[in-house]
Amino acid sequence: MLILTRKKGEKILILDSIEITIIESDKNKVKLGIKAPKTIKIIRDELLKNIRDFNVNSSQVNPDILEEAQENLKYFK
Amino acid sequence: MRIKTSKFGEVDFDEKSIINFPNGIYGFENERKFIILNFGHKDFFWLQSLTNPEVSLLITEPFWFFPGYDEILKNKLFSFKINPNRYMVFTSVYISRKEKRIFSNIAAPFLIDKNRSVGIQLIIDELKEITNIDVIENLKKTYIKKSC
Repeated sequence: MLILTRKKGEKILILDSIEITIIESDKNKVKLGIKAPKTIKIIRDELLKNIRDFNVNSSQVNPDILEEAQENLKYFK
Repeated sequence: MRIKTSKFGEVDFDEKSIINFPNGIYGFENERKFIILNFGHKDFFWLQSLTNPEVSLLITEPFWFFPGYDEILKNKLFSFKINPNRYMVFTSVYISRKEKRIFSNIAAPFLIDKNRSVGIQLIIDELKEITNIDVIENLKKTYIKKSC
């Protein structure tokens, strides 16, 4: 892992098309500005983990549970 | 064609209904080929992997419980210069075992190109707080709004 120390306003360049700017920083958090082509996915790590976990949970649902849950939906249909 | 699935036993399907996910889906990045199964439920389907019989996600089209989703998705796709009408849209669903609460991840829909049978899971960053919306609670809110 490359570890760099940057001050507010300073930038980091990745490949030739990704630019990260330190916009603000304080004791507990850092605000980053990221310029990148639209084709490059930029994502908060915990969001990716949430999405992965949800997919995995979704794959663990059994058909019988769906049947039982459908009862709850009857009131709305 | 026929495959074995762990939830539904052996399933017959038309080769033309195979959907290719070139990047897989989150959590199952190596699964690239899927079909969508339906067993008579109006709103619920299963995204079944063809290469791993155990991978079968419960999915739904979210518009019936989230009426504003159409707009949100259109805006997002326009920003990528993608025509929303070319896609079928599904969101993954989880049902809690005890209480049978139904949740859906509307922040990461599956988009399937109808013509080319290609799919991706798109992350809508603006919805990052709603990775597991409670479907029934949302339906209740929708009905309350309507009756006011």
